[in-house]
Amino acid sequence: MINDTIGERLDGLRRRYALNLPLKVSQAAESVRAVLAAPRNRALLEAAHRGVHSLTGSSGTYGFCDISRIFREAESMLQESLESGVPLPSERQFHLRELIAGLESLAAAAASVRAEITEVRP
Amino acid sequence: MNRLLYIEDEPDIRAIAVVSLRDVGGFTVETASSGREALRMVGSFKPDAILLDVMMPGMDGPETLQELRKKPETARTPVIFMTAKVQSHEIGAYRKLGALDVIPKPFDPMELAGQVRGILRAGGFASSIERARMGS
Repeated sequence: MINDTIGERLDGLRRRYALNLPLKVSQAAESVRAVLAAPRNRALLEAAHRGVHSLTGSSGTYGFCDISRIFREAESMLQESLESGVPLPSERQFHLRELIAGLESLAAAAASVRAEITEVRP
Repeated sequence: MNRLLYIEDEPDIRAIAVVSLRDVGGFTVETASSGREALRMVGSFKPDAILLDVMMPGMDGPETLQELRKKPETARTPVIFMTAKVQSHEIGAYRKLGALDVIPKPFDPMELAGQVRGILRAGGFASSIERARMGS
């Protein structure tokens, strides 16, 4: 009974997180695109890195392991640019842009699956 | 060893950590969204242990730890870092800063409380919850 209650609480948090995930991913994607448009702007780079780092941790903790893994890869690319102080080479920028686009599709899919689960519950 | 302060800037992670630590683990949990908020709280809450996110805007985890050590209430309180960056040399660096250990993020909500208890036990900080369980 206690475990049911805990499971329900965790599931409620997961549903809420999933429904908000597309917006969060979209905001992170916008911040990364801003970096790609102005790759020498350190303030934009730091903001994008912070947002992506945050979603790497939270998406994984909420069970969205694929999304977390892709965010981690994006975070590592942004970190590389932060540490080197130079923009990513063009092929890496292209890869980062692709990662971000893939994340938006995954997040939308995760939210729609969670919404369906919510709808069929009594 | 029952009162935990969890310092984390990300509200979604704070929410799931509270369920994990309080409901799964039986700890009394307070949260702070920043190092500065935590420093204001420790006088009244008096935690037995602190979970501290490494990467936070403003005052980060290592800076927060330094400030916590200056306060008499938390000068010797065990601190566990939580971070996505858990390469072995980084764990060593965090321990040198005075952290008891490091828990990697993402974490499993059903496992977090057990990890915390295990680290506190290994560090010589027995849990009053465990003592109570052993006595019953």
